[in-house]
Amino acid sequence: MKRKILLNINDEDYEVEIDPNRLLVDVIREDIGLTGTKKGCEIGVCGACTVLMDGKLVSSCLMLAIYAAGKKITTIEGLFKNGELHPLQKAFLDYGSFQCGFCTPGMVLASKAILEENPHPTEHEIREGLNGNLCRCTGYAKVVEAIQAVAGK
Amino acid sequence: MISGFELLEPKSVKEACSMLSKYGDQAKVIAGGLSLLLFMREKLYRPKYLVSIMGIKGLDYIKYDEKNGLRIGALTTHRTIENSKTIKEKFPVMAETFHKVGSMRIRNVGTIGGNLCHADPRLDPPPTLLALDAKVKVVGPKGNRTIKLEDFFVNYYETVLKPDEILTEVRVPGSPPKTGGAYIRFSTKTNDDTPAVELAAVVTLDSKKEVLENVKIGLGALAPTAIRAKKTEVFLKGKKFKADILEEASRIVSQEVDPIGDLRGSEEYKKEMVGVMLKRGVKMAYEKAGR
Repeated sequence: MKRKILLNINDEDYEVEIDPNRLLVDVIREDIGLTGTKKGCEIGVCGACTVLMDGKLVSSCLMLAIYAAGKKITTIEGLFKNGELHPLQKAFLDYGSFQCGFCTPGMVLASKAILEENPHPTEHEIREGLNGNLCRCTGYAKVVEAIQAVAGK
Repeated sequence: MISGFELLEPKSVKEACSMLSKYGDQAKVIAGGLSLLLFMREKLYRPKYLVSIMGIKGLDYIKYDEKNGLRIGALTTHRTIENSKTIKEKFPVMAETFHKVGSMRIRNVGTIGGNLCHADPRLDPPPTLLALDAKVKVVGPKGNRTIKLEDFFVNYYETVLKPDEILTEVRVPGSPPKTGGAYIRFSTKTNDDTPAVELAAVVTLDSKKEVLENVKIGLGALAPTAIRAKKTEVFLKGKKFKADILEEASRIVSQEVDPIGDLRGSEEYKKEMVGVMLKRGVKMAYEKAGR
């Protein structure tokens, strides 16, 4: 039986009527139309579906959309505010930290979480923080550099 | 695609148990939902009703006192446990173990109760909790029971929980002085992969810090459930910490396990590796106990 829920995504409220078996990643992509969040492994290990829920990184592919009701969700689109890219987004562009770009939204959100917990991480701490985000293209080096650049400021 | 279900949201454990009673094996408990949704996606579970316990207040806590030891509510997340000051102080091997669960995303949502009830022998927390003599409190419509964790797991994805019961609390007794613990997760592929061998060692020393007064070894990924290496423990107990003792213990633990050969290693390799990890684990625990 469908249920009406209110989802707060990137500071905007969306009312959706959905079946309980709908996953958050699908509601974000299909019902709300925010396709920055990607579906990679669909089993919670690759990080492509990463969103922030009440400030914490979660896998939206393993989250019932109903569980997200009443919480504050941030997707990659939410980092672009008032016409300005987030410093991490700028750094990823400056350093060329992506190739196909599929892992990038999750990678940027994970980078944000790393720096929020630890504003001046060592390289090891950065790499540890990224261990839940898989990238098949870049070898991670430029991602680490971009994070270090933002941390250094 | 996850098959359709009705989501029920009880506000108390009592209400949840009566819902589980009513719907029997058509219902499953959902907490964070990580393992459950994964299995439902793979069509291994197809419950018609999901009884979500996320709305039940009072199941997310970490309490410690000298008398009762540690008590953790079933809905406490791995992240809360790894960051807990109390657990880092009193049971550092637990904090280390829970830090290794999945990734940050998993730890933010996954709960200790869900982890134990999922009963996959390759999860990280069970070997450590077994080595710490953990017990679980289980609530059903007819009352409560407390079960030793080593009696809780039955088989892959199977526990002694009855269909109308809910695990509400995990209990760990206080550690005596001169106790140290170590947890090793040995993965043959990538760091984040399911490990080939999991070993937790908790060692208590005598006052002179020479004799292994008590040794508990929890093993994961080597049997249909996480287990204690009882024969190895019996051998090590009361012995001095010496190289030849460790060597013999590593032979005993290799014989004590009967792992399956799979992508992560052959039977022979896993048997060899558990012996290696035993020596490393007991050594690390011994050093921590002596500090």
